[in-house]
Amino acid sequence: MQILGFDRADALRLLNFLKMGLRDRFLGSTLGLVWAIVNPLLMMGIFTFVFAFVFRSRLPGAETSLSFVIWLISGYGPWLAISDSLATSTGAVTGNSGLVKNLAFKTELLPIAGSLMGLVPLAVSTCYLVALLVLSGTRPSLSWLAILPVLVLQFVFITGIGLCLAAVNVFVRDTAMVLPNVLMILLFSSPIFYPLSEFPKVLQGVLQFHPFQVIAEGYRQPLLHRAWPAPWSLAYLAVLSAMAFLGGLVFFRKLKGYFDARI
Amino acid sequence: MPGSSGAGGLLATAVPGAARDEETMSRSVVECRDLSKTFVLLDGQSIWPVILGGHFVKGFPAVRDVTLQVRQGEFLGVLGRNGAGKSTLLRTLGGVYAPTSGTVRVAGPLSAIYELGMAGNELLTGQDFASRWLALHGSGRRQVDRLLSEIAEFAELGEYFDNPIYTYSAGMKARLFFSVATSLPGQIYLIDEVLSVGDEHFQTKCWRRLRERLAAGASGILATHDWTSVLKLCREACVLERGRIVDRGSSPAVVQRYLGLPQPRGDAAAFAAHLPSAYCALAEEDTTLSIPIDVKVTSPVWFACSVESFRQGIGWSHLLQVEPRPVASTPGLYEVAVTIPTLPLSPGEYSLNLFLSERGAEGTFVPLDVRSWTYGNDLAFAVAGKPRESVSVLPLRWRGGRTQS
Amino acid sequence: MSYRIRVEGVTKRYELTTSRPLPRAARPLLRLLGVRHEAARGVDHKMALDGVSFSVTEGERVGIIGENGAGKSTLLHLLAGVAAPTGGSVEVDGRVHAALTLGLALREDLTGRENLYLDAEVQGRTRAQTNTVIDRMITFADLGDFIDQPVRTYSSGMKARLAFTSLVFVEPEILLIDEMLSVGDYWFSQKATHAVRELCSKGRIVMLVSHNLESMVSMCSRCLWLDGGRLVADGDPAQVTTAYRERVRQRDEVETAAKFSTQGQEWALDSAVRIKRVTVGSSRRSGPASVLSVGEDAWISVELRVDQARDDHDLRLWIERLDGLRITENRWSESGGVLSSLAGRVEVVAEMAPMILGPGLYRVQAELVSAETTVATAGAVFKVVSERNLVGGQPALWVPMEVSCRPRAAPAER
Repeated sequence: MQILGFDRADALRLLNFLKMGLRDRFLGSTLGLVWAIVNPLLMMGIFTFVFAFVFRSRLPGAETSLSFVIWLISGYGPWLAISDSLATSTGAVTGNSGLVKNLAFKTELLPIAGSLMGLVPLAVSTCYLVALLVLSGTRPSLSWLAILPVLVLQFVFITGIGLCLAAVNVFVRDTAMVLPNVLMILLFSSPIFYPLSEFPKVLQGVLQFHPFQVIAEGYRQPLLHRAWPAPWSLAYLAVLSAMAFLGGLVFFRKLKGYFDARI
Repeated sequence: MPGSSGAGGLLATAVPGAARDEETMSRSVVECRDLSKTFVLLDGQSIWPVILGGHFVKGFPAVRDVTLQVRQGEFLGVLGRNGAGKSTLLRTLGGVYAPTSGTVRVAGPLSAIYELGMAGNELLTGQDFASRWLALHGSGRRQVDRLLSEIAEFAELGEYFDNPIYTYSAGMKARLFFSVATSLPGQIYLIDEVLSVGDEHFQTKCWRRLRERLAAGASGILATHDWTSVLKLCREACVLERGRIVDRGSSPAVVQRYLGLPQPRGDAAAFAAHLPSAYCALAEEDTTLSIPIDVKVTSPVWFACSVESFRQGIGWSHLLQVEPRPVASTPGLYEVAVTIPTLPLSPGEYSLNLFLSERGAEGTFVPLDVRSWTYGNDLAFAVAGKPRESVSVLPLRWRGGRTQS
Repeated sequence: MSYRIRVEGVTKRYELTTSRPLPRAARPLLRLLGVRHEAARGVDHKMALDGVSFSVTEGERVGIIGENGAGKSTLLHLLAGVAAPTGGSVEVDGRVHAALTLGLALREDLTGRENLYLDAEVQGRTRAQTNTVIDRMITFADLGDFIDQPVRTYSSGMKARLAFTSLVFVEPEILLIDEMLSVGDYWFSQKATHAVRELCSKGRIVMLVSHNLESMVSMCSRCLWLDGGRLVADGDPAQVTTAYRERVRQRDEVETAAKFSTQGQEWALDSAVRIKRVTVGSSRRSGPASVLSVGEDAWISVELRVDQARDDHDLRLWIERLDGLRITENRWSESGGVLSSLAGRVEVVAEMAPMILGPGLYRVQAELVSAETTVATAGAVFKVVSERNLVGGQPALWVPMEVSCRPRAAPAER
């Protein structure tokens, strides 16, 4: 059975690449996987401290700073996963030239596995978030499960972009260098550190359709408001993800025949 | 195991495929037709239109119009000098490179050694590398566990197996890589130039493993510049030059043409016209071969000879050798007698090779007349006697009895 | 100026695991967090060099020999300044040119020609200087059209040739060369050997690591022998290499015996007849040996315990070369031996006089055969060595053959 040209053997191989990726990233550092948990935790700890105790930021209408931190991290956590996914998948082909040159397999799997690596920071931030929620007195709710479809769509979307970037990076190595800067600009252009209502009125309408805003809201609605994300936003994200993924896959497959010119 | 070649017949009849049924003979496991691989060259071009439009103009053809077939249970030899396109051909057959044109068909699981560069992270331990490689080739956990101990033993890395690869010497890396890549039985092996690494002891082990795999029905391609490896492993071979196959046929015939040795004219000394085209002898008996020669010069003429064999499953082996020694230095007809005490060859067909030469500068020998398979004109040497399962029979003197306790 | 190298009491210690030592108290905690076991484990050390002292003055060509892992490469690394000694001091006066690993310095995206220029620049030569030799370099590398292709399209053999070429055309003061004469194919390695000889004659000081003892004797004026990180001999190449050969042979003997002592494949179907031991030896020395020389008189001894032999019991000997070539199959009955006439502790000896096996590793397997079925077996492994090579090839059997020549009266008589 084949889906989009992938079969069962590819799925197994994808799993292997994921395991390999996890081990390779933290190999040689004494604490190994611990860093995978500590790094995002540290980042979010800093945010918690800065926004809750230094800036004492509050959401409009909210009473405590903690609720702002929860709001911030419910958006920042997924974004951390996205940036991690993109960075890993962009370098996935060039960084594994040994494999690409010596093993016959579908090279698409490398950026896909790279993108899935973002699950690690996402899992960590979600756990942190749940801890904060419980700390602030919120009871767990079934509606929290509504983040699952958002999560799936997020990874499909990011994988599509990752495939494009990975292919481009083979020919233009600067891609991997430029990416962190682009991500930084995207971060501050999207409503993650400040609510949509803080943006100029003119932009608000447009920013509603900003994919990152849609994704962030997809996490915030269930976690903070115990509500399902708006159906239109899910549908919009689904269409966007499908387009990004298929487009990325087609683009990657078109270019991969020429990888041997650069690897 | 019947002997299969010798004499002029060596090249004409090639090596018959012993007792194998037609069906397995004809089943091909690797096949390609009109295969070409052109590397695109991106220098000088602006890259963006290429990425967006996918147009490439300049190319470097590394493999051109190659058609070949490897049958089940056989290794095909691909001979060629560095840069002839051997590695590219193997990678294209192995699916690493997409062919520019032509078709490739591979029926079965592949194990490939394209280069001894490690595919992966040097921080991994040998054991990690092995289990990773096996996992990527579709082995389950249980099979990995079983093969790991086998690999550790074969590679002889000792405690280094659990140390990171960056602490290995080049020889150790080669040992690890070969052991891992040939650990899965029943595969189609694509092997590029690896048998020239490691120490002598490890090389013999590599050979043994390849022969065992071959005997167990494995197939594959051996790409190398070393013609002796081709003779040892492959029944058929082809020669690759600038990406094209320029010659193909049975291994000895191909090697003979690949070497392209100029036939000496026999002006100064030659084997006499009535030199027999075949000799025969009895196994384990004292044997004397009489070789008539015709010397026309007044300078020392040196004689040398060798007995070699080409057999299914064993390949080429060089069995007996007489080092060059002066036999005559005045014109005339002579009879050279070579005496072999208790001929230690098992019954079968052998190739007898004779050389007449003169001493050149710096101790080299310049051939005056040659009868050798490398020139395509060797003599048949038939040995009769009780059939044996070994290539030779050592003369042993036995004694036995009770020992005092 | 004068060039010299002085090495005094140098030690070099390597850590064998990737990880740094951790406080013992932290280990259980880390294990709890799922950190890999090795990381929580301590660190092993290996002494690559242990108190090595010597000095080299201008004009000396020094060869370094020793078995794998003896510290040869480490010593060159220290001299090149790539690594720092753990203890002792290394002084090198002069510009060092080191060829330690071939091909590492190649830029994959540049063409072969550009790489040659780049390498020359790194060595401090101007483009104009390089232009004068570039044609000779390209001819030497013999890469054809590939010279203007990016290095990434090269096969590993071609990369080695290119890297080697950039080494050959330098004007070194102190030259360090790690073994690499086995570069590329046959044609090229001949050329490379010749080039290294020439290079050595140009360098003020040359230090060369090689496994090829013959070239060591002909190319070097002095020879260092490292063993387990220690300097065991320093002197005339011919003398040092001879001593080294003898040591290798002794160690070989011990290792072959140790490595294969468990690989005899011993078993028996019934206990009435058993093969207790198979040993190999030379008549020149007493007792079993595991290394024999071509042409000496040798023996294979099979010790059996016969409680009750049947009439159809026979003893069979296989000798197989370790690459899988089956050399011989002999039966005792063929020479008139009758096993059933014997009982108790029995020793059967098969003499090879002379031993005609060519150099290599062999396994001898003794089998007790009853009605074409093997009922008991045992084996041993031995190594055959030779002092010299035969001219014209390495045959499996070194049979001493007699060649005589006499004039013939008339042609064409049959």
